Amino acid sequence: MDVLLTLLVAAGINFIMGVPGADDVMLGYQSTSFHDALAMRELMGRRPAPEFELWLQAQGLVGADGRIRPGTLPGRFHYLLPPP
Amino acid sequence: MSEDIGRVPNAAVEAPASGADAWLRLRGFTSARIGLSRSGASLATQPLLDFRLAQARARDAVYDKLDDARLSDEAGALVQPVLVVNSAANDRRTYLLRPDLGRRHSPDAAEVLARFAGTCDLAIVIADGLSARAVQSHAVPVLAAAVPALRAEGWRLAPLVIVHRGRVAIGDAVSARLGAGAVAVLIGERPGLSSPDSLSAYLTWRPGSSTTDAERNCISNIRPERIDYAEAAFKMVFLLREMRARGMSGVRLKDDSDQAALARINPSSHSTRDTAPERPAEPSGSAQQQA
Repeated sequence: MDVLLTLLVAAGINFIMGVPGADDVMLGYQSTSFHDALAMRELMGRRPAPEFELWLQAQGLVGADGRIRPGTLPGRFHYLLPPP
Repeated sequence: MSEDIGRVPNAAVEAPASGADAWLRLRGFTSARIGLSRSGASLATQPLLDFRLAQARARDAVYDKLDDARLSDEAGALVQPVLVVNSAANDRRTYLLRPDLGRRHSPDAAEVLARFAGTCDLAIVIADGLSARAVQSHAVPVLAAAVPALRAEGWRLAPLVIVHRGRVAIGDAVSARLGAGAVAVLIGERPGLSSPDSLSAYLTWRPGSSTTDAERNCISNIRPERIDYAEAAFKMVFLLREMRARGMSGVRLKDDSDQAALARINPSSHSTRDTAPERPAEPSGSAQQQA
């Protein structure tokens, strides 16, 4: 699936499925994952759709260079996640 | 799912809700692979290895062999006689590559079934499908709950048929040979990465060569962690009863068994629950999986 995905991205595909960990637990399907999309963007120098990239930046999920922020949880997420 | 709410790992509850720990806490609520750690932009080694292990288990499940002797013994305690037949797919590889052959029985099977041709209300077919493990583990416990209830409601049962390398529609051909007015096919679902042992029950009223999948009702994800044996049996008996009363099955018949289950738990008409407005018919909650 990684090889096929690389081929498709190289060919200019502009949409792929994203499911957590490539595992669709409801239907028992395997698909491409959110991690796959991130890795493909980095590998092939692709950017998200402009409006989506702006949203990602506003959420603190990606930096100004369009890359996913390492490690730390964006501040906004602390309000969304359950308290300890 | 309400039964998952208690499964938050204690260690995660103690941990501060930041970074990976916050996700770990949420993972207690779902079998979905959320909050996986990254290496750069891609998956870290541990979740990658977890995925590959799950993938290997799913593949193994597809190739598992059904122990028909053991299954016959166990099922024979509930329904007699038990017949074991093959589909028209002669080996596992052919079965996987040729879904059409999995829907037909072998020429030998026609002879076996012809000896038991008659008239009855329901044929129960157990097919390995894509997970023999699911069938081996869950088919008999479901039937142990369903068969006595069906008999009590007057269903005359055909011989129980175990099919190797069968797909859902083989139940149509089998019940036509046996002269059954309805068929229940218990079959192993395509293994998911989180559930290699999931069973489905497909119920069809008046099955035959012109039956389409739109005429089936499905109870899917039967395994102790999801739809347990008692609940699956209750839904089976409910749907079959509705089919017989209305003379139809499939998309025109809705699975209202949850309401029937509630009424059974709380039959009092003075209950506050009963003051809720009547719910309009909605599609079955079960995801329809075509094995």
